[in-house]
Amino acid sequence: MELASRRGRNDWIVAAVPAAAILLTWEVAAAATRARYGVPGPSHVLITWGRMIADGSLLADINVSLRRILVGFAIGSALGYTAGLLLGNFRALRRFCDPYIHFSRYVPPISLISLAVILFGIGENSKVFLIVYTATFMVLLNTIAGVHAIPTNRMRAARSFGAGTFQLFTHVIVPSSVSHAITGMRIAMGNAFATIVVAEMLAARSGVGFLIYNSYQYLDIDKILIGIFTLGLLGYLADLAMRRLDRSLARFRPLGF
Amino acid sequence: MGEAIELHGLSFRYAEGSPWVVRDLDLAIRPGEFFVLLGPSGCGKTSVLNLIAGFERPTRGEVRVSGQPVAGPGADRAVIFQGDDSLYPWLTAAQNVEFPLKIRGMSRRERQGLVAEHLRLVGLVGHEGKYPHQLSGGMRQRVQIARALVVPETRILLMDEPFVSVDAQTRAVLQGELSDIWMRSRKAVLFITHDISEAVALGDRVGVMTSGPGASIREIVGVSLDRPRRRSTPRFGELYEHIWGLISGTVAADAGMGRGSTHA
Amino acid sequence: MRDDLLRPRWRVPRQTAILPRTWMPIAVAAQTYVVAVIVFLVAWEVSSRAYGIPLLVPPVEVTFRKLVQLVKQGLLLRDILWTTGRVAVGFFIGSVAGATAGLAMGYWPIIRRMLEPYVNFFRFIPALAWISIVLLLLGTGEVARISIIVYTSVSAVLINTLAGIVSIPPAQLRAAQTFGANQSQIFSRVIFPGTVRYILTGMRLALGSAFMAVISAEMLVADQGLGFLVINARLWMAMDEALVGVIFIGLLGLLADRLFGYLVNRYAWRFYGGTGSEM
Repeated sequence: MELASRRGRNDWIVAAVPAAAILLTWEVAAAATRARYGVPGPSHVLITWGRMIADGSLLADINVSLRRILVGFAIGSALGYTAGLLLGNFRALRRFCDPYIHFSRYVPPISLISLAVILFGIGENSKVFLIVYTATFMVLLNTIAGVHAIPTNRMRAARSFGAGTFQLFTHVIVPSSVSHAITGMRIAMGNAFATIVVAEMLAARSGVGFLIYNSYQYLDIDKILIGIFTLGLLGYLADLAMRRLDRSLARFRPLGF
Repeated sequence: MGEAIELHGLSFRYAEGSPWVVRDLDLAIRPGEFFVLLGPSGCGKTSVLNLIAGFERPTRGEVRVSGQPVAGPGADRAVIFQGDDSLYPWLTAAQNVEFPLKIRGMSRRERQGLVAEHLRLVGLVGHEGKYPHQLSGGMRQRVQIARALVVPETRILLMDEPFVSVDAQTRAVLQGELSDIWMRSRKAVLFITHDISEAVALGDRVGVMTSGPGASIREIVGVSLDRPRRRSTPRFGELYEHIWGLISGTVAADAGMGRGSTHA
Repeated sequence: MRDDLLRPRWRVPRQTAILPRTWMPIAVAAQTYVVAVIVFLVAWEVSSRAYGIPLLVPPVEVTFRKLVQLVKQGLLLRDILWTTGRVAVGFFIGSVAGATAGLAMGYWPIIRRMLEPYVNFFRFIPALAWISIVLLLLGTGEVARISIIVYTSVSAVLINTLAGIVSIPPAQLRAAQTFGANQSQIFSRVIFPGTVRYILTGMRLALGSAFMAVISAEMLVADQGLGFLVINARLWMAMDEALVGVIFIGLLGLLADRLFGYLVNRYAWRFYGGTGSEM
């Protein structure tokens, strides 16, 4: 008996059958009760999805949400990685910052929304700020863990070859900790999606989160579902991109860096 | 009484079209015999053990244990695994030894007697309450040995390079103890190793394997030395040299190495 | 997290005349926390004065008075209790469901093959994206909020349970087989105990996302809870109230995480094979 996952050729059939059954039931039930409840069936959702893509409204919302995430994510990752390298290597600095890091990691980014809106206004900056916060701490924590996971002998070897502090950073610490930082970025990306949805529901007039919440006000169930599935798709693609990034960087550290 | 283990034309590969791991292997191990299977890394020794243990099914040929064809793992064959990850980290040394008895539904009183007896046998008195990670590598292998011996129905011990991850001194001690335990218990042992001196020190017979893929047995060498064995005797050295000759022929053909690079 | 320096060291030892040597680092840690709080308060006060608009960056004193007022009115305690209760219920249900589903999927390949594509699909959808559908289906009551927490908890625990089952060393399964263990014995005595540490890791992550979810849910639809406190503060531009809310959200999350870590280290350490729970 082995528990390792094995994939067969016909796996998708096993998974597809219940999905098809659910979709079919949904379609039939929706069609039967359309007059009473007005719940759209899957085909109706697909048609609306196509229409929203065609008229550009969905892409506009995607565009807005993605820009908020990417700008905040880039700033936050850069901040988090830099801070993580410094805190990971300099004890005194870490000891000083330790309590703040501890506390902040338990503050969900979304709980800062009121502060963000009051300080930065209702515009883009408040949303970007939340994403920066989300990314910074995740990347920071993982980078510190990465720096601490570097085997002592790897550092000593570089020192014995006469590497200075700067060279130690560029030749040992950075390549050794990149993988951890990317792990942090992957998690941060997931959290960024979770944060932006709520932020757009609470304080925005655009974006996929707004689409979902606004459609709720008008009971546009098909648009709600489209918003949800679009988010899932975007989240999946973003995660895929992060994994690709990790793998392509892994090629440059074939010796287990 | 027939043979303890019989292999008839045993062949094994993982899938249709993939290379043969073991090819046309014939072997008979007698009851109470200490048989060592010796060969270079990756030659398929462990696959032979897995086939006898019932973890894998032969692609062709047959495995018989005490005359019966093997249908799967069973309590008549105890396995001592390479490394120590087969111990259960959430159980103490004593609980690990007790595990097979619990599985067999034995009463608490019976279990306690057997567990204490076998912990004593392998010299773990005083360490019963420790968890695997609190024990040294050698002690963990002792737990494995006790756990394998504790089941009364066990007739055969299958050992897969059990001492490979312990230091040289501990290994020598464990080899001596295993030899003693075996002489008292008289269970058949199939012992797998790539260490020639370990093979000569322990085995009644040593089966030298050809290197894989598609391995089989090149020659079976009888070791007629009295126990306890001493490595410094001339006869030990002769057997060592003879077996090294068989192996180096096999390995040199693969690795392009001559006899000069002897290993320890 | 691997870094032990990132673990809080709250436990301050009872005062004795001479601190034993081994306690020194803890005492040092306590000092750093005291220093940290003081530095934080000073920085806050300075930036408040420098900014010059007390409404936007309220001074320490104003915020503290707000805190006292909220405590006296009993509002803070009420919000804390609501948030804690929702997390506790949702986290518990979600963890049990996630572990059960994960074990079933790990054990029966057919279930795994049936469900895995859906797990991989749904885990990329943030819990709060479902809020509209949840409100339509379950109404605006407690069930809606708790079901969001259940959703986040299930996915974290489920994914970690699956990872745990795959990571069980084959030698442990084979050893049990050689002793004649049947399927249900292998499950209850090898697979389940071998997976416990992964389930606990998943639960710890789930606890974090449960707090994220409950705060968000309370911001969107609730009349009590710390999320409500914070979002309500925004309507009145009550920065001091929002700050109090944020601080207590952080403290509550920290406390829950430490409590969980304490319980794991106290009662479940056997399942970590000497590597330590890192909690």
